[in-house]
Amino acid sequence: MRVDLRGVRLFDPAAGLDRVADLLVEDGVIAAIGHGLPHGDATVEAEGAVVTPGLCDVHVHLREPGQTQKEDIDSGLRAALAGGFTDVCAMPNTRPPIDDAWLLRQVLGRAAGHPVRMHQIAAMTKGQAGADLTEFGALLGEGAVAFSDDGHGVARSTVMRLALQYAQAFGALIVSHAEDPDLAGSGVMHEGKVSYRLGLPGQPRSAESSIVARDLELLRDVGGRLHVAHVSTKETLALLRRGREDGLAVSGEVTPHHLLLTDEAVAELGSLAKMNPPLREVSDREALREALREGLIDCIATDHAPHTAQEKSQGMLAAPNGVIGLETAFSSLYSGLVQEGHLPLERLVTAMTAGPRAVFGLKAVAVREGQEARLSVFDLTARWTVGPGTLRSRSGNSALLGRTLQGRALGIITEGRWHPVAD
Amino acid sequence: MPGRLKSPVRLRQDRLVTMRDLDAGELDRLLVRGRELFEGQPAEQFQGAVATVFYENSTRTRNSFQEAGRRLGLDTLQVGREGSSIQKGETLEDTLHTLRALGAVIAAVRTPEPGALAELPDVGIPLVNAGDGWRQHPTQALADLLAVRLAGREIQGARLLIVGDILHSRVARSAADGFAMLGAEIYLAGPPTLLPPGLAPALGARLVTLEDGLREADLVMVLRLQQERMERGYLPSLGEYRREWGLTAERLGRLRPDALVLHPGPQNRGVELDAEVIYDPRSLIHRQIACGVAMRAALMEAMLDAR
Repeated sequence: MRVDLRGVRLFDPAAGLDRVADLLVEDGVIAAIGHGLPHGDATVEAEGAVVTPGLCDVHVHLREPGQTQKEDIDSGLRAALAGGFTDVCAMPNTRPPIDDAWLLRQVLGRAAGHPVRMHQIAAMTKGQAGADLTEFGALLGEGAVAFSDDGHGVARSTVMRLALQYAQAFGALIVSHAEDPDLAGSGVMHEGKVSYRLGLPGQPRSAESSIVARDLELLRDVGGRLHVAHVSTKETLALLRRGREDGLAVSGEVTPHHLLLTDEAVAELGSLAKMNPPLREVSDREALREALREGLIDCIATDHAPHTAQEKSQGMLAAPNGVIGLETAFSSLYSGLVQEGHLPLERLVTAMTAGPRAVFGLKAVAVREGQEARLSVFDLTARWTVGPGTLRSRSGNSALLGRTLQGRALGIITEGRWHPVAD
Repeated sequence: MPGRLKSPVRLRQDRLVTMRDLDAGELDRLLVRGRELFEGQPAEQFQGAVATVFYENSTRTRNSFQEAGRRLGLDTLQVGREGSSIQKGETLEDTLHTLRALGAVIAAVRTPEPGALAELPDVGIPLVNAGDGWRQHPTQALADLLAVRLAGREIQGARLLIVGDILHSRVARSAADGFAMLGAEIYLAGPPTLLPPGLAPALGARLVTLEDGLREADLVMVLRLQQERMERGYLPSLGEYRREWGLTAERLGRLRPDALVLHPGPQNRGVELDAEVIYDPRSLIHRQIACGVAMRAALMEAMLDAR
């Protein structure tokens, strides 16, 4: 099978590549880059489009098994494809949680054969109950890419310390959902001016940063590799900066919604803007953007968290946390950050491709002859409006409904084939 | 009908969720009308019922809405949490549609969910927020404003000190809005656990110590302290609260001689205020209740007229 694209902009910041050329894929490998290349069996109509290494999202909730009314692996991976992703890492907070090797094999089996590759993060503790470690060795043997109790903060410091220690036997990565459940309490949004005005219970910024401070001290104490999921406050960034300077093996990710929105969105959107960690203040959003620009944060992840309309319509106090993000991540960040001059396209693409792959130890992808063809193709001129009819996720809980975005995925190339979004 | 009475107030909307749903002109005209009704002028008469839908307990507010309804010729329908379809999981929207079908022409709703009424689709009848969690209780603010006016005070330029558990207080939020809309300056005092640093600016108010506030205030609003705050660890004891933030008889002596005292009720005597305060000539506490009926009648009259 040979696929060719003609007159496309090949854009791979990690490889220092930015040129307009033709590209020929043969048997799943980039066979040639150049001008006037021979046609393949199929030509992708994408002249003028941008071709990048395949986007990789290291933080999605696909809800299978157990909550398939919200999403399942198939609908979630179709949403990923529509957003231009070739790889996603599913979080293990399904029902039951992915905390043993047999379960992990089952869910990966459900994703087999899909154009988008699903990787699985395994539960760090049995049942994600925050007490007893899972079988890291067996789970890694079935393909786990990291361990996390995401969805819950790890309240017990000894458990986090043991996890960081034990993971070193395998060189495994621990992903921390940094939240002190006691401090977060019953807060349904960021505690601050907006929560005070709206009369809603807030969770303080220290609910996140105090746990990050703890975890960094544990890292300093026992070693290990730590990745802080969905960083949301400027205090967390300051801690990460110091940890990096001290040579600790720590990284962080940031979500599109924390880069684009603030707690003011809650006043406007209600529970569609309810997520955990909550949307913070302008000063936090600006600090996150700066951290992404300078490379302190090298990883954008959506925290794609589908919930049904009925669940989300229960009001701010009762509605579950989370927004979907796979289908809007690239477009919303291209529109909101790149076009507005807050972030160079090169940083956006790096933080959605090479950055997350490096953190999670996934095989690097490059737009280069002889490399596996794992590519995303975008039309940066396309404008579209986010609406229920435009989304492939089973759930429509986007905080961006009604917004017009610029830039849209045309499709991906994986397994030697072109997979268009339009299908 | 000759000389049919009409409310002199024109409202732009038929749902009152927060005080900010009114503008200063509407607020002022409502207070003028409320005063007329307080003084015994007849109200416009309507057919149908006022529904009180209370997902939280209440005595005075519910009765006040029902009494105000009677002034307007309305029957009453009531739904509470106990023994109603609410327990069966019926949504607020469905409950309101049912009540409308039973003859309700207006509804007063109390819910623990801040902003619940704002998010509700149109249900075909006007809705009044009778308290939504910590957020707002606008008809309480209307009652308080009228009580101050009836005492012969200008609200423009007045210094209102609100004392107590501001964090959890819908009364404080709606009073801060309502008094500020008519030109008052708002000051807040209370324990830092219940009045964190960012709260005062968020409500357009200034943070003061109790002693400074009492010395300067024209109006002092004392908030009810709920027992639950002790259980959640916000405060070590009721005794300490009284000593540090209670409006005691001794502190009453430090108020300006012409200052006025308000309390939304029900009072915890010997906690947030002493019994002497309630019966002091400067206290508006008992008048606030009658003002509540008049203002709820004035509000519902205007809302029903707009339909």
